[in-house]
Amino acid sequence: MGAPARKQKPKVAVFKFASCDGCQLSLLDCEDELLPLVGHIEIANFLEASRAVGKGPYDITLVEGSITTPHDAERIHKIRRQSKLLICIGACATAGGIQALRNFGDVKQFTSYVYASPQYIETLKKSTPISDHVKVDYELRGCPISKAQLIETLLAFLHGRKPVTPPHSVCTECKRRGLTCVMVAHGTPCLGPVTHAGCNALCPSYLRGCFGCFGPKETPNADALGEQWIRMGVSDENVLRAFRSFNAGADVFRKESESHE
Amino acid sequence: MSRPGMDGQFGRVVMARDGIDALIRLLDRQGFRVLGPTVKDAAVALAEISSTTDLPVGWTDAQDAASYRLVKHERETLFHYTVGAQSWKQFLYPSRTCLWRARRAGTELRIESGASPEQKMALFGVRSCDLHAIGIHDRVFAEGSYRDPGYVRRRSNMFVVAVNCSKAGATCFCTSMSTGPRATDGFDLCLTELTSPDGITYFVEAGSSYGQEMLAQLPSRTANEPDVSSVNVMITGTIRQMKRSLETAELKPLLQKNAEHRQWLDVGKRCLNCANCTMVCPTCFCVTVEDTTDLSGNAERRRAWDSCFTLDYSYIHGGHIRTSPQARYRQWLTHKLASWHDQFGSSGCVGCGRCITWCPVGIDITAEAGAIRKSVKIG
Amino acid sequence: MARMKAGEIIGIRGPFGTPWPVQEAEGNDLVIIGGGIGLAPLRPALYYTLANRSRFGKVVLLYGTRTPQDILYRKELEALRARFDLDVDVTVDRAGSDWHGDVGVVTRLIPKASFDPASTFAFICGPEVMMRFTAMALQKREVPLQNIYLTMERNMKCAIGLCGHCQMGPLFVCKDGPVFRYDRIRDIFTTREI
Ligand code: SF4
Ligand code: SF4
Ligand code: SF4
Ligand code: SF4
Ligand code: FES
Repeated sequence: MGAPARKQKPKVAVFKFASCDGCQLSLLDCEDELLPLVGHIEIANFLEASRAVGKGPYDITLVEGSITTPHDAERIHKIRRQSKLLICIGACATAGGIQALRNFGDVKQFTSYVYASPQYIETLKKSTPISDHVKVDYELRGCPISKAQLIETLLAFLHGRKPVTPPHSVCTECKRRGLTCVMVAHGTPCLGPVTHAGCNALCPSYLRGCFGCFGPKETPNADALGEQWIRMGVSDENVLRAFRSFNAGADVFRKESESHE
Repeated sequence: MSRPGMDGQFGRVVMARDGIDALIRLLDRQGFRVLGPTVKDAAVALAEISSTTDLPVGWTDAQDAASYRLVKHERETLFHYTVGAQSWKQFLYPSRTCLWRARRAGTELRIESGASPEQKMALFGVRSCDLHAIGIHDRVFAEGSYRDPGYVRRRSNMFVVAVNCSKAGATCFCTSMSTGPRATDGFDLCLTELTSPDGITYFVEAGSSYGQEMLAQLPSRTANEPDVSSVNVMITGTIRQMKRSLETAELKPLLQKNAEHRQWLDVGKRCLNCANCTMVCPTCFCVTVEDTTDLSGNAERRRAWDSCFTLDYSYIHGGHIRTSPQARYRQWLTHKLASWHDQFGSSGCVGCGRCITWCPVGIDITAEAGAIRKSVKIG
Repeated sequence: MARMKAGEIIGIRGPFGTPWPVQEAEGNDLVIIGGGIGLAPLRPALYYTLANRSRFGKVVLLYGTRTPQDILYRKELEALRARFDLDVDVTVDRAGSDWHGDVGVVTRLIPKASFDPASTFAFICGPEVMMRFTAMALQKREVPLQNIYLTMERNMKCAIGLCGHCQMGPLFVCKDGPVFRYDRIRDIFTTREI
């Protein structure tokens, strides 16, 4: 039950790919929990917190961000080889992130709008999740991730047990909190019924519809939810927008957005 | 504390709104945490109340499949609405509970109860369907071979103030389930709000000797025959208003014989398996148990409401039993309307209509069961 | 759990639910049929039978598993095989040339097993499909349905009928089972995803 007595603290590394750092910041934001945690692990690589880079192999590697360049596609393989356990954190790493919007358009065209000399921009056609490239041991959803889930996951792996991060709907969390359903009581479109739990129904608690930050839940029925939104008077364009955000690249969300094109 | 009240065995009085306020204060003085309907985020929600002004005064509701709206009522009524999404199970069987904690002390492991001291509760404004739902939970948690100690404790210290419904919601079907709209059983006091051109009064009957004792301390006058008939007229009106229905005759065998009916496939396509119906259902009791540990190796076992609509609910080594959405919907509907009879000797549905109103896509348990019955009759 | 050392603490609740009806089976032949890891829950029943060997007629143990490497309690099975008062037959789904035993599903061992169907009790434990076909094979040999017992597996969060997870139609596997009489659950058992 207790933390196994170890001579050496487990080495934890954090690596970043295409992303905004928001998820790594969640790790830093775990002030109360992080301090005692630091006593139990050795942070081998975490550029957001310090410049020192410890050598691999790592016991636990947290990967933030999606793969968008040929260089990154190679780098993730190197990291995988150095990692006993590879955990992806956040919508970028697990679904391609907001930058997966490029998957729906022509990247060359995007870069020519954004950069003066687009020929120097080396980029892949698509922004893809880490699991498209290497084996991933665990995924933490969210944009950004929930710090409670991050702590839970690290603790679980340190104790050799399975983390408790259930893949059911946000609605379940919403109802456990006793919140008023914004979809039924206010007519506000909400992605809660198809979205992976983890945020504890943050948006509905502020009377907003769920934005789907945690991506698709287990067996999501996006089709039926999309139809209900249309019945509620939401335009195709807005259904498309809702499904095409932080988790636009996640299969079910991508298909649903495409069906409203 | 609530005992079945024989009609006429206990007193019946009529009071004004100040009598109701006096009742709330009296309950408070006797150490009860008084819980009742309030308005929160444009819906009726259950919370602590300290006077009638906390109630949804002058509000009524318009409910339908996947739709709920609070609307202004022309009178200063206290109870002219039906049930909201929440049910009393959130107090009697909370959505999250810590069962126990294990602490390390050297080589020892100390197990401590997760229960924290709780104030006794007065449930104020319980509708008839919900009284029946509590009765059903009594059979599940307090009368079987194993009991839930927390439920039994909370339940045995509880005071119940019931309210007879002055209107039927569009998703209500308690008359089909013989669970309402008149509260007949399982309360300490029962209120009926009588609205007449002269004003609003409250017919109050006691259903237990404790209720009777309380009643004696409130400002009121003895009820007379015209008062009793006003109550009857109001309830008849509510029954007439009830549009939804569920034919229950032979429903259990019908559903159990049609486990492979194509209707399941049909509803499986519409269902989001979001679990809202099970969360709002006042009789659903499923929970999951989660173990967590902290850095020092202390452990905690927690319990949280769960639902047969989740995939993990049916996980066993090597896979899930109910992978398809239709299998999960079938589990829910057949549990409520069929296998509940085998397990607990009654239907698991009290006709409160919550699952219809709060289903984000408006799936209707009466319509789904009805479709199976219809197809079997014809074909 | 496998990593725990002597002196560490584990918590146990129980026992819960229904046991193998070993006493009812006395005076009859007994066929014990296990699939894969399903041999483990049958072992106590086998121990009881062997400890009270004289109270039973023929006793047969049929065991099927994936490969020879997956065989559970291998040494023990070998020792049991040597006994004259017990028939032990093991089959694997697939094997290399060094395997001299049967190859194929466990149900194939049933037609040739020696017991008197009319007065036989059967205890089955294994994956659901295996149990379904095993029960059918026993039925074919005219073992009375009410003498066939099997043990079900469902997700369990409480073991006392309060969490709901183990439901199988009207049954709670934790308290009504896990050992069920086949004729009582046949209809439920054959419904998919129930
Ligand atoms: S508000 Fe959204 S998350 Fe909450 S129950 Fe309604 S649909 Fe689900
Ligand atoms: S099944 Fe629906 S109508 Fe019946 S008690 Fe549950 S929530 Fe109410
Ligand atoms: S309907 Fe589902 S969630 Fe509700 S009590 Fe039955 S099995 Fe549990
Ligand atoms: S019936 Fe409605 S509320 Fe229930 S799981 Fe399906 S979509 Fe959700
Ligand atoms: S395991 Fe909880 S009800 Fe059977």
